[in-house]
Amino acid sequence: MGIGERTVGEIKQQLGKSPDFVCQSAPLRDDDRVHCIYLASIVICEQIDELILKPILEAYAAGRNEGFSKPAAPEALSSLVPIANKTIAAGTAAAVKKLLDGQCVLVAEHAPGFLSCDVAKGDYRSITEPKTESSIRGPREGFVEDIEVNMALIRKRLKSPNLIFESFVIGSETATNVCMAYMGNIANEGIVNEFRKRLDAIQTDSVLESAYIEEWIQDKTLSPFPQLISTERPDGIVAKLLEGHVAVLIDGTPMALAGPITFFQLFSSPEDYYQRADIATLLRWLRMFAFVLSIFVPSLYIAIVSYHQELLPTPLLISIAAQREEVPFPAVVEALIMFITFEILREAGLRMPRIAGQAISVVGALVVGQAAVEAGFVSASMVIVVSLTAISNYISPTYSFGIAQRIVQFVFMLMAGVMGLFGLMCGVFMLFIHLVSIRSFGAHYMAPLAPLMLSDLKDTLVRVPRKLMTRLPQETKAKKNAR
Amino acid sequence: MKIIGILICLLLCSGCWDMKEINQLAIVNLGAADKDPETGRITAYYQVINPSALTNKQSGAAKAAVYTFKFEDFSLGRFTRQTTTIMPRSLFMPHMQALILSERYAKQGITDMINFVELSPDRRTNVIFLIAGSPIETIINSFSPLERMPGRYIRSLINLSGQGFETGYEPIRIKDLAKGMYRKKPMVIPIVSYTSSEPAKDTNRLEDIDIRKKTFLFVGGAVFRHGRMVGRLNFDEKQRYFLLNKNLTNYIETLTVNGDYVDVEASHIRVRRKFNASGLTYRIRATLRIVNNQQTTPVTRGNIRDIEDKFNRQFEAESQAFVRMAANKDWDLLGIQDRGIRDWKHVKVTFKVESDMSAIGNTTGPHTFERGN
Repeated sequence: MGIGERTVGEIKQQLGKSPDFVCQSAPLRDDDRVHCIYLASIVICEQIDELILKPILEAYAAGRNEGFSKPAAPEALSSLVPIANKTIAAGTAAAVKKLLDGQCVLVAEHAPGFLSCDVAKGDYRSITEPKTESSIRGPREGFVEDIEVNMALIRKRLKSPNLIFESFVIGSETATNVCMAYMGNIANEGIVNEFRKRLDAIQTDSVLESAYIEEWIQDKTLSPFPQLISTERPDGIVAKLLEGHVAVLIDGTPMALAGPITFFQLFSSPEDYYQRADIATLLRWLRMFAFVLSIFVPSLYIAIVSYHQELLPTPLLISIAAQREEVPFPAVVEALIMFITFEILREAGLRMPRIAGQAISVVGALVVGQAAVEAGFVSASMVIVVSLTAISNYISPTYSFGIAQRIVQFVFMLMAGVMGLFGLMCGVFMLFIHLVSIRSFGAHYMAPLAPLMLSDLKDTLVRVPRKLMTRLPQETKAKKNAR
Repeated sequence: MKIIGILICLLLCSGCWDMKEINQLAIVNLGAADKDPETGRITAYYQVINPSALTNKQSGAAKAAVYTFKFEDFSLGRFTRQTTTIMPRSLFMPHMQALILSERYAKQGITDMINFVELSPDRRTNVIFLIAGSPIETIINSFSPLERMPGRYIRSLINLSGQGFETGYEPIRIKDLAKGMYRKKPMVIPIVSYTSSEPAKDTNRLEDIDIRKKTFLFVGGAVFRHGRMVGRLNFDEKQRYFLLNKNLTNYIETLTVNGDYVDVEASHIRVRRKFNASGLTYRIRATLRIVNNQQTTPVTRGNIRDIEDKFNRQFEAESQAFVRMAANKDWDLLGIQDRGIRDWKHVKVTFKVESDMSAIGNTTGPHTFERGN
């Protein structure tokens, strides 16, 4: 038994005799052979036949090989294979890794080491419009599950030699490719180092989605607020890179991460920069107003209806009192019933087969809306409050921020329910304390308001025209100031 | 951990104790009180809103938009407790629109009521204050047209009449009374009356087209000196009181010019008072607008001057008559004593009135067809 056959046996052993493990042994001359091994499920078999085995066998048959007189070696084989992405390495573990990456490993019978050639299948969905972040004006391309395609999408928009990609392999079992991207001439060294350090420090068996990485590298675990932007829009990531942020791409998911971020960036959308500054500013205010509505409307309603009726104008008080005449529950219970029912419907709407969605929408609208009011379980004003809040939740450009709003909203509702406006004010103070205590990779979460950075306000509370945005945000501590 | 849990539970429970659901409240829209001068017993009336009757949707529900609850006791503080004997909901006063006191109560002094209202944290001191010109039970037990809540009806009337005032409202809130109580200048509070001796007790009254038959009516004002009612002013006297005290800046005056009536609206009335050796001088400037002109001659520049002169003279004459009336009744309605002048009755008050006509209407010449034929 030669070295090659032993190596093949060891590799096969390590892969657990997988059914897609294929080993083709091709005789070269005399007793010399080459073992071509690969995992059939993740490679293109035709390429192995045409680009690897066929040239080698033909060369040996014609006696054209330079090492014709000697036993075949990986170096000699490499010169025969017309594939660009190929490497020569040694060791069973390395060979196994190459196989799992979708490469074909050629092991010579009487020579150490191996040649690996990239023949991986590229079966990924095509680039489509991002489903969670659609836009009216702006690029329609979204990231896909293949990290290389995603890198290409960034490179296509950012043709700069300063764009740096750093590769990581994370996950002892999944060995997921993770890529950190930043602009070498803009991004702050400290922030880049911190990203690198945190990515290096991840000790996990698997990374299946960007959320895995996000949880590992975010600053504060016990917080509902996102501390990294997750987006599937390459234009959004490029904009972040140009402002000195660092992006993280993860193989197998179309969601990329970017940081550091601030609270107010959660109100901005890439689309803000694709339309006139005044319109973008108004839309940003609308989003902020919707955030305030979504966290305060239900809690204020509960506090006022249950504790502070004197705050209402008399006609409104009478109207609400008339609606609540037959309602058997206190306002806080009524609100919780409605909101939990709505959350159930929303969750069901997300998970259920699309074909059943319409039925649930009808049932939801009838049960939660009309029937509940007519039966006297809830008041019509509560339905208005729930609807307004629910719609306001969806206006957030970042989905995870919308979820954070819902959590804050429930906490505020409970506090308003047990302590009225005093409870609500306690909740507001706790929220502020929490928000100012968050750091995202060293950046203050509430910047540029706390601490106050006047120049950063031009792209926070308003979006000034592009001509006036001559400086990069201070919060990212970018290497250069001017754009 | 257990202790923290218990503390949190207690904190939450202490919050819930304060909870009063909106449908557990008896929302008082109008309040009234009477005091028997012999026994000193107070009768309190609470007009409570019936919310379901006020919404259009519930056609099958009761039609009465308000119900009046009546209680009698010897002290004001006992009423909240007493309401629990008959009222199925907790008394809720912050939305009370007006408080009506009987004339005999007002004549005994209303300091106790002002103190009671000001002491209570959940009662608003911007509630307007009125005196009943008819039996209080008639007023409080009557339904009102157009506005289904009598409290709101009365408040709307007051708000409309307050449009000519400099501040936008008549200074008749309880807090105005509390402030004015310490001055020598008497305060004037509107008197609300009822046009019928019988109250409109049921909602069938709302089917009657003739509103004047049974409705609320404002008739002059009650004069209060140091928190006690001392007399009455008629509608014109009340208006003059507010004009000369710089509260009212807009009113309509009827003049007789060349033997015919001319109604002018005096607006932007600026009143300046000056005390000097010769007495008190009022300088009054007003902008006039003709709202009704029955003269047969066209309006010329000379005619405009006639109207202005007539207005100036009439304003002066009426104001002098008002000063004489106040002195006769021993009411310092101009607040001269508040300037430190004790012998206020002998202070000579002079009026210098200037007016400018700013608008004469769409036509200068009247239609004279009937007279010409």
